[in-house]
Amino acid sequence: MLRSILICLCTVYLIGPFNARAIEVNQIHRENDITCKNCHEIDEPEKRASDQACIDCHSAVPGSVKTYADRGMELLVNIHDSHEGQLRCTLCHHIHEPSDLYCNSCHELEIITP
Amino acid sequence: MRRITQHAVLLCLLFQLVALPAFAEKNLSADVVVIGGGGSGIVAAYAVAQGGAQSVIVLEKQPAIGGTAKYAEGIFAADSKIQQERNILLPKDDAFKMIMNYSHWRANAKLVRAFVDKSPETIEWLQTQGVEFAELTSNYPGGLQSWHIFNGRGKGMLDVLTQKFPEMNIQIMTETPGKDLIIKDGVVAGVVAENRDGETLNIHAKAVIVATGGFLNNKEMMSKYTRFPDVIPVGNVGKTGDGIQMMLSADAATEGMEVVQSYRPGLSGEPTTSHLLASVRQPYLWVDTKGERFCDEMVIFQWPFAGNALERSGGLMFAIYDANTKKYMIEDGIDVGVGVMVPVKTKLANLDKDLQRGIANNVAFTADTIEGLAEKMGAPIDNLKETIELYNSFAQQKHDGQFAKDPKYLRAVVTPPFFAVEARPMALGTLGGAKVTQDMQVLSTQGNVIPGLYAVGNDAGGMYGDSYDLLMAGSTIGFAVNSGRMAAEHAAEYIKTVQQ
Repeated sequence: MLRSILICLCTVYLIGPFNARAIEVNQIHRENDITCKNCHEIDEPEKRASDQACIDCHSAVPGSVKTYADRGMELLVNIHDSHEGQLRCTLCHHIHEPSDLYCNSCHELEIITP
Repeated sequence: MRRITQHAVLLCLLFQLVALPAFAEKNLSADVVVIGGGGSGIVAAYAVAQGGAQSVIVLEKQPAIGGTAKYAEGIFAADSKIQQERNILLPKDDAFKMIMNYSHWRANAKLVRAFVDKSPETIEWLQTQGVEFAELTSNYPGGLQSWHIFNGRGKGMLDVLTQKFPEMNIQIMTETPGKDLIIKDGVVAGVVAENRDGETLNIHAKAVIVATGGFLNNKEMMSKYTRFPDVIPVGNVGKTGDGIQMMLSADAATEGMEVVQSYRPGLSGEPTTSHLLASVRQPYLWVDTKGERFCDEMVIFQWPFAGNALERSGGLMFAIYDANTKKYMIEDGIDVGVGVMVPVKTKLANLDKDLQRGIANNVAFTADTIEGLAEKMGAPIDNLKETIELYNSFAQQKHDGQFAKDPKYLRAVVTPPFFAVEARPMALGTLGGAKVTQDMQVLSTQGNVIPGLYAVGNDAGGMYGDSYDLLMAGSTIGFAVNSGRMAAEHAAEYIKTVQQ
């Protein structure tokens, strides 16, 4: 029993670091040959990419979405003009994992976050 | 076998060493660190810089500053110039006595006095910084005119103050929660934080102001300290008691941890502006799950009373009205507003539509008979019938023989279709925290000041007895802003005595 636990642990430790290095970007960035350096400025990133890295390519952002559609209360809001102020792009748009709309920690906006 | 195990352990340790990234650690310093960038924290940072702190760091766990204060509508003050100009009499002595009486003298009298005395001057101070006020009002019929409504709500105030941060050498670090207090020889000397890149920041400082906004979103702490942990949280998220936990680790004493900022009963998922919610929050007929009245529905005026009554009767109520009262709310407007967002006399034009949504979501019910309504509510039919018959007789006699409600709100339930809408206890925050002096210095369990440590806003206790006090509209943001200034003014002098 102890032995198998240890083997498991060793496997985890062995695989862990290799996985961390083999971190992948999402499909759209992969297809456009975006490398680590394009966003993180260096080949072996140590920090998050800056907003400027995003804006360099995505100079125009789509703004208007219909929200609250599920409740019959349709409101037109500009999702990029948040009452929270200017938020970092990668707060919602994740590049290495599925995106997740920060607004929805309080609201229930039915939109797809690319 | 033993050898294999030993090898395995060694291998594990070896790989762990290789696998662990070298976690970066940074040393920073500032005169003052403020943990939490909500109303009290932002004001404290601004005021301490104004008072002479050369460098201030504001740690904010969330991606943006502002916390719950963004949504504050207006701020309390007694005997402000704005009140004087409008012939509104609210002497500071009266305000002080009302707060103390409301708390049955369980509140910290010196703290309450300092807060009330500071409040009018704070309005002028805010105006001097550029904050504008739109109006002066109260938040329920006949309430005190203590509510100084911000232009652009709380966010308007925060924007005015934070605009000047760069020139004041105040640095905001978002997504950087404070983790631990640095304590040297019993003196608070900084904060350990973690930034968004996972780096540990050792921020050495002469004073620390804790302003993390209480623990409403921390289920474990709610269960441990409060009377009704299942209350539905309203407002900003992420208030997980970080600051209070840090202070407890530093041996801080607490005060009033059981006091929750009860809000009007409501439904989770409905926005504040919902007309369905507004229809629930009227002083007409409320019943519990047994189909019986449980309060004088005028508790909605000072809604912490409503929270208390509903919590003790089980935590689920129904507001009941008939077609007549529905028509009254739509055509004549409501008798009690929902803050400044759905003001008194608002005509609930969306009520029919909102009711349909409520019915679809199984939180609102309608039937042509009381029996049918009781069935849908899951309440005992006989009880509900008896309750409504009695209530209708009170309406006819113009006297509430049960709970002595003002007869003007006794609206008979006679004309079908009948409606019942669910509501549960809600809360805006927690109001207990570290035990503090009138300068917001944190006291230890031994009763001594912990040098260099301040708690403000909803991380400080002492303003209440057992319940949230709604006599003074704008009291919570009022305490946040005033306590922020009080702490800052003391800290600005204190840091002059500290060698770093």
